[in-house]
Amino acid sequence: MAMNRFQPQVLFDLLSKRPESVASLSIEFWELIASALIPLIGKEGFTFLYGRSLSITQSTFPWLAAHQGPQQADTQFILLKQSLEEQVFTEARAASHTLFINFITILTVLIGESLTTHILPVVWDEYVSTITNKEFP
Amino acid sequence: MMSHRAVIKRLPTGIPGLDSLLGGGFPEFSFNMIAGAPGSGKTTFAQQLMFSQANQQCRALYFTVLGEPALKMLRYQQQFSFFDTDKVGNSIHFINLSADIASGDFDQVLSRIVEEVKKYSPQLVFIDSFRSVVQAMKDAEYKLQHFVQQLAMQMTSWQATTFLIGEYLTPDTDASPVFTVADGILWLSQNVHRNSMVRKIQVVKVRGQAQTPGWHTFRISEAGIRIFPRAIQGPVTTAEEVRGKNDIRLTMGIPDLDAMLGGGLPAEYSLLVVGPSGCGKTILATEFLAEGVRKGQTGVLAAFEKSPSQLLSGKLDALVKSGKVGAINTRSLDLSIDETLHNLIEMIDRLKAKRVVIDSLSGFELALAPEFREDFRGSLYRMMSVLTSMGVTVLLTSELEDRYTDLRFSPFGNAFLADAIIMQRYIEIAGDFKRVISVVKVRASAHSSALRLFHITADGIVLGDMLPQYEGILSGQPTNMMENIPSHAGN
Repeated sequence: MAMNRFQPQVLFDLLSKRPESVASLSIEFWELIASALIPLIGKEGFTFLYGRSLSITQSTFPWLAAHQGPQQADTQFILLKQSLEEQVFTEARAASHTLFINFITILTVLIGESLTTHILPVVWDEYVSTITNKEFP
Repeated sequence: MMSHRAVIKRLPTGIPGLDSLLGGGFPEFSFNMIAGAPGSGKTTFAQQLMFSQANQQCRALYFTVLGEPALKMLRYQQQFSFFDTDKVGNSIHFINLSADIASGDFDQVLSRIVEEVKKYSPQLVFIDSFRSVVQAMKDAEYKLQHFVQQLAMQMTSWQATTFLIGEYLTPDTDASPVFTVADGILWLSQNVHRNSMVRKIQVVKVRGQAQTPGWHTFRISEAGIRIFPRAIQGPVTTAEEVRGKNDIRLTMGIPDLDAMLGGGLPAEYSLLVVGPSGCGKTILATEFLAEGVRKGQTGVLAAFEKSPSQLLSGKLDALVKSGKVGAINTRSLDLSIDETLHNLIEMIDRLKAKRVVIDSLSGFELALAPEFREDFRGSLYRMMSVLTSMGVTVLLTSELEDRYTDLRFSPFGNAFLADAIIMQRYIEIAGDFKRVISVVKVRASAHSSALRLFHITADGIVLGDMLPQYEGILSGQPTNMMENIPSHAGN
């Protein structure tokens, strides 16, 4: 059940509905993911995972900016937002979507699909609800 | 005037064998230290306890600190069957304190812990690893004693049972306030000797209840930790009780042997069958188990040499396959006596067994971790005492190299612990290899003192004649006295 609604494609579809806000919606999404994972794996754990996902995603989207060395997640998110804002909608959406897929893939390999799909749907639902409310106030 | 004392509830641990060591479980609202060297199983211990006990009525908070990265901990701990993903985020919350600790503000760390405890109202609180906290405090020149006392008081006030997990080889001075304040201290260790590794646990202290002292072995498997509390010798049997037990006899499946034993083997006795390789000890043990099955008594076989399926005779294998005899086969080289005993007891209880065979003591000794071989005799004594006090009759086989120059009944000097001894031996008569059998001892019972030939047939053991005309049988080369009698003798 959780797996069905927790699909990267849903993020893609949500971003498609708000082309003008791809960057800010992506950051909101990452902040929620961070809030769910940091208590569990620590800030450092999250930052390293995010950094690795970003690094992989850069091979397809070399314009994605990343700090060298360990940085706080919020610093990384500011850079992500800046990078996305500089791109056209389709490119920004594709990069955001790919970054998420890469992050989930690594997380699943490390802590297993069961735990991943147990933890993230809570924030996923919160995110979807936030976007929906913004879209239809 | 009536006194109303505080009643301390004992919390079950969910770790097999631990509750009895602790004297019933951890005292509710206690402040405990789980200590040991890296790799000794502390985190597994803590998480097994947490996952087995956590539910909607018993919430748990697991604070992770700098030590083992939480990501790796989650990755590895979910390999255990006790790890229940559904409990994460519901009855179990993981909180990472690394950033708080790194700030160096330990009053803030304490506030953060209390804040999370207020938020989740947990019954169980874990801090892993507390040694990382202690180390960080040392660098920040913060008073550990103050922190520990505050933490202990806060957790008790919030009615939480707390577990600090720390890597310590010995109770070092840096952490002494922790050990002083703790209501319970458990020490985990792993000892490597040659190629075997033995895990042990010691309950150093539990306030207000009688724990089982000393070191106890444990094993970590896919199911988690299982402790084998050291077997304690049962009450000593009085002579009167022994005489009473003699009334019930177990038949051996070899009628002539029953007669030699004085009417069968007294129930709840331990019988040592000793003899050189190939003389028929396992066959005699098989007859003992098969006879039990014929009489409606289930049995248990602990096979340390060959498993029933490896034996040429299919009889034992058939007994095991029938389900009437349970088999424990092991070729492990890191067993403890207590682990073997627990496995035996579990199977005896499950099958309601009345007959137990340990084949053989030599194989059993080999299967033990080297450190347990040193006290094999003492441990075996405890084991026999526990088994016979359960109401089972035990047959042990023991291989003994025949030297023909001395008469011995066991290579371990442990014949004394057997209530009865049957000896098998090879002898040579007129260029033929023969087997003889004798009953050496049956405690508190009359028995035959004859030496008798026996044969191994397709149907089992068949006893033959006595050898009254021979002398020097135990030397292996008996002399036929009749041949030495002059032809005019008796005229």
